[in-house]
Amino acid sequence: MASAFKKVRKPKSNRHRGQMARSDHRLAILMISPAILLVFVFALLPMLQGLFASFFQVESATLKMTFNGIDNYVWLFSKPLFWQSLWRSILWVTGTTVFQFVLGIGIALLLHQELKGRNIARGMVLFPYLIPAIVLSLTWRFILDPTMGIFNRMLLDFGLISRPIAFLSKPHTALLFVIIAGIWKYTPFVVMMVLARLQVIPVELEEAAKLDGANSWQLFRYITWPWLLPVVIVTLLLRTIWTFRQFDIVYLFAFGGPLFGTTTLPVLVRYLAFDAKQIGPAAATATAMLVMLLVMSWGYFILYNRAEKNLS
Amino acid sequence: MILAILWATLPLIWVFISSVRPDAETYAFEQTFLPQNPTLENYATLFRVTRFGLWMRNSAVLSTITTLAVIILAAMAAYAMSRFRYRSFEIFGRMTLMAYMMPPIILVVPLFFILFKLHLTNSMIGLTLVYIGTRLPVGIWMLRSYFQGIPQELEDAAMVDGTTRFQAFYKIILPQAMPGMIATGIFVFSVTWQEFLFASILIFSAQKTTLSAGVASFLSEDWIYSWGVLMAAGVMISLPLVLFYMFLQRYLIAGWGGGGLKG
Repeated sequence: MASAFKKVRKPKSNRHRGQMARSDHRLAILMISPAILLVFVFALLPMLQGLFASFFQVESATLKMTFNGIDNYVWLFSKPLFWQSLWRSILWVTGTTVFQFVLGIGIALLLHQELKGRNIARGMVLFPYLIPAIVLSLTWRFILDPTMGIFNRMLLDFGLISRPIAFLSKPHTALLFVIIAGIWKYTPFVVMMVLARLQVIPVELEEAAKLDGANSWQLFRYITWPWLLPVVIVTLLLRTIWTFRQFDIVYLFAFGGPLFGTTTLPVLVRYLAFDAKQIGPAAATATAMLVMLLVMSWGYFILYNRAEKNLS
Repeated sequence: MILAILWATLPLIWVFISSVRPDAETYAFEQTFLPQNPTLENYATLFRVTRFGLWMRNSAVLSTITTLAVIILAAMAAYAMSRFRYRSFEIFGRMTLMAYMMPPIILVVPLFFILFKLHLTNSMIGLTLVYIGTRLPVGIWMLRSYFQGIPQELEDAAMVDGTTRFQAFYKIILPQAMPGMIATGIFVFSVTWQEFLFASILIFSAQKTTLSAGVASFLSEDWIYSWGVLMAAGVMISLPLVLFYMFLQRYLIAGWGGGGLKG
């Protein structure tokens, strides 16, 4: 057992005491193994099984698996539903992240100013982030309800529409409102990240620019923005990945409907596996998502390095 | 600034107002902003007529066990990883990071089959194990950076005085890491409390399900729902998280900053 754990570097503390105590070594393995076991069985094993299953035909009743090469992928890529879901995923991800950042950076800059009630405002602005997906869905379903919802009532009162609209029963408006709900919930995350970075901006930089007679736009463009950029990129990466894989919010909003109008890729995986009983193609969709995630992370990594370099 | 506050809080205020508004007013043609006869009737109905109370208990039990298990196991693993730099630990660290980025939807189908083989589908024990296994990576990741920030000299000094390493770990290091553990705990609790996907697929009886999955079943059933009751449910689900946030805000911000957290 012990020989399987090769020592790369001895802990500093033991350098002056010669060989590290045997009991320490055993303790370290004892401390880490429950975590290794659980993560392996309930996170890594299922992931590998998923990859594996994407090359098999799986009988949903008996779970019998027959190897079928890339048939699942061929089948999947020939289905318009897959491409439509991919497109909706792209709309969902870009729609939510772009507005989260525009609003989030704006609000963060605002809350950075010396204004009255700033601390209370900072606390309040973060609230949407705490709201669970199911409550988010309940809230927006209620607000948009065609008969009782406040939104329709307001539009009617202002005379903008002549009869109530069932926003969540139409594919396009349903997707639009899921996106709005996503923006609402996650803008606070951007505010939090950007605000934290703003608080450590070097004062000398700002002072020097002001002495040189920079106006506030120039100050933002040449001092604040480059300073924020690395954080913005990291946050953008996290938000893109998390939005792309987001299941709960999108699904609970309209259960993938109407007419697949809110079926993004994760919702499609669920549909294929549990409603259409197409486990192989579901696994293939999941694997395709994984590849897209890896490509995205790689792209951001390059951007991040460039932004860091520009700063120094 | 007022606009920003309104944008963030108005929908929530509306949920709360609607939860204390009698149904007769919600459904009335003319509506006032504040309810004319505020009532807790909706909350009473929620607990009396539906299984909400049971689900709340299920979610509370599941989230508490998961949170405690994740904190304890992740703290031990993170400590081992920060003090013993074995190659195999390093590889495990990379793998947890990968597991952490993994979309849950990728895991859910294989997990269903794994639990099926272990005879743990439709079981709260099975769901708890899944939660622990899938939350551990984030726990380890948050705590590892935290432990690395605690100077090794602290436990060295204690060990010179004759305590064993394990004693040094829980007497000296754990108290130092408390803010990080609290932040990790709150994060794990809040994601588990509201988790929907795993619960909705791995549990299929209404007695054993959790808050999110249970309430979602109201929406898909042809249950003739009362918006007032649903809004009361919304308030009850959000309340623990909002309270946690208000009381433990400073730990959260310290821990999130340290671990580089995401939602």
